[in-house]
Amino acid sequence: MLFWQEIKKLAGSVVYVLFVAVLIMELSSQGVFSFHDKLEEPQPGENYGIHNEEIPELVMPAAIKELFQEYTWNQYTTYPIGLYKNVKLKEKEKAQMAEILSELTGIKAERFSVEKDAELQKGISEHEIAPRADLTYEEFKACMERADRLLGGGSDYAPDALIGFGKVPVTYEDARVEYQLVKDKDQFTGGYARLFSDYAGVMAMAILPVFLSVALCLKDRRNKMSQLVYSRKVSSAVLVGVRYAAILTVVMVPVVILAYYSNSKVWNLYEGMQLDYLAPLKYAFGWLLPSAMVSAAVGMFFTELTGTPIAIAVQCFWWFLDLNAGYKNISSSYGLFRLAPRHNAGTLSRFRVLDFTSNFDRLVQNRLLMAGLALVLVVLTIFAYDWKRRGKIGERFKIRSVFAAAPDRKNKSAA
Amino acid sequence: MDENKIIITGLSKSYWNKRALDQVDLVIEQGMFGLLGRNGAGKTTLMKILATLLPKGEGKISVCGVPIEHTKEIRKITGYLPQDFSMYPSMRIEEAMDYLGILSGIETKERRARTEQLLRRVNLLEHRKEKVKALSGGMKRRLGIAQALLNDPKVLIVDEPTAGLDPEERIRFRNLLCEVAEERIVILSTHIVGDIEATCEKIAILNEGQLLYNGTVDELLEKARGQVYTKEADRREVPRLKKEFRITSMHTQNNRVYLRFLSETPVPGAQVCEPNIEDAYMLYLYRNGVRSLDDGLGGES
Repeated sequence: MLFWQEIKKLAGSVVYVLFVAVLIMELSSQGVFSFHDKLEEPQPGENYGIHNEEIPELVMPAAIKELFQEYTWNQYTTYPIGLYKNVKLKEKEKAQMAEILSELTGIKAERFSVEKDAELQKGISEHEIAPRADLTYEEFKACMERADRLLGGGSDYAPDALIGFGKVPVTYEDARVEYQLVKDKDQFTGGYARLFSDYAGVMAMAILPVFLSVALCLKDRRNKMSQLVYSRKVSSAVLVGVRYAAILTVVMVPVVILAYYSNSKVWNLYEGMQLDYLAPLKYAFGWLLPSAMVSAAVGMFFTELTGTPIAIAVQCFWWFLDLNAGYKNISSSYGLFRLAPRHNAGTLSRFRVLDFTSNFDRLVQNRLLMAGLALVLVVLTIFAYDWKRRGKIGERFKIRSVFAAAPDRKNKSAA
Repeated sequence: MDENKIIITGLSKSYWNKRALDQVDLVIEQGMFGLLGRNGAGKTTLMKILATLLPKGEGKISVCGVPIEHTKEIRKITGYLPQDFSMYPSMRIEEAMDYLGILSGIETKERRARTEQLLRRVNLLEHRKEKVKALSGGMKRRLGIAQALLNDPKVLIVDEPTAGLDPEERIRFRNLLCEVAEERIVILSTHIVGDIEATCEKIAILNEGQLLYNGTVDELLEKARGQVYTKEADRREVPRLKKEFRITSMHTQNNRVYLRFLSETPVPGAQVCEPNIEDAYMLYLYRNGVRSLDDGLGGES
């Protein structure tokens, strides 16, 4: 009964109408309601795209060329803490980078250290920029690691990022294997649901629910109703738990509807094929729900603790960091601490289903971690709410109230 | 029988270095009980402690035999109408009652019956479909009483309920409280002496956290007997009289002024009159060293 009352309160609010409107607009802008690319069975002689492999013969020349290019312009792209950064080296560091390039190519460092970039380009021809004949892959990796450190980390030259330079064309056989996986595992609809989840996660679920939970938690105080609610028999655990469940329900209902609307657009493309009609539901709850849970829980916790909408700033900050962390690896990013995992691959890359399946365990760990974190925050919210009900903390955060009884205790012990 | 009493023993409460309540001992029995005091006297603190919205400091409190620490039990048997309250403005009256009834853990059938019965009692039944935002101040207070009675509490705590109401609504509200008090303890906290006079038999006076008086209204009046005077004077005499006596009321007709004032000794040219509770309250505060009353009238005349 309380659950439905909270649902009514939420669903009838202006904030919720805005939530649904923004959700539809954001997803619509990403084209998830107009999927029309059909994944065709690969035929011999076609272009099947590329994938990355750490093959030294491919990685070394490509990485050295890229490093030389960036050195020439003295502008390096890095993502040190996930955020984009354009690094410019000082003279001393430039000299060190020239040393590294020299070690990699066998060209004397002085030739790299010509002051003017124009002269530099004249001095060294493109053909000369190639790995030294006796350069081993281990030496190459060590040099690249030094280069990455010199740039402050987060560059394409970091050991775990070097694979990005190894671009290999997908063979017909590989394409067939992936197609078969899409057919058997994804049953086609899974890939589209994954793409929907990528956009819905990063653009909506990781940030929008916080607005709803903040609005709900501030509603009592704004309407001078807090004390009427506080003095009731209902336990803090039940009230906070039911309110949290109500927020998640009103968040997930439009998400599931839109997920099905998006997915249903491709059903007629695969007539006669075995399709997974539950895919939108599975992805909505498996992929998107944990992001919504954590966003809503952050909103509840900080609002109940402080009596202010500061949770919006907290969640926006986290979301911004997470968004930028994923910017580098938009095609797939399943870090353990990702707020919204990324897997942005269109139909032409066969939904990169191999990439997804090989990262599935990490994705599960991440989703469980986020759901767990959300539940911990909900438990903390219950404590904060209960403290407030008993006057141990104020309506707005006045932790001093917690200690207000201290003099009394002191007097008592003295007596 | 502790089952129908609130027993407060040695209650103290501090906010940092400010003593909001200081060694308060009080027994409150069934019926209307008035808690009188100036703003900041500690009334709201005491009300909130009784409603379990503030932790007590030192001392013991038992509400109908239940220690105050048993929050859930206490909330089951108390109803609370805060000083400054409202409800979700877009909810209809009956929806708001239903919501608060759910929070009180009342079953659906009983909740509906109680809502109808209480709305009828507070004369809001015909307005039950109206939204809370459409209610006048007086109607909102009556709704406040109705919501506080939803769980049929043994104790009703009402904090400054008549502030801002027009005289008609105030009288209606007082009568409602008196009706309600026939079957439970009703604690009415106010700084408006008239509310107490019209409703309470027993009262307590709080000042700066200390209990100055605890007894019946009649006893309080008795203490003031022979010390309240009236006098008709020329307007020009007023400044002198104000300096000399503690004036409790004053009204002017042409050039003549009719004064009511307190004096512990007979005043030539003035007539002794029957004290009202306002006179008695003022006298009591003054006797107990509340000197700020000298500056003018206290209470509400």
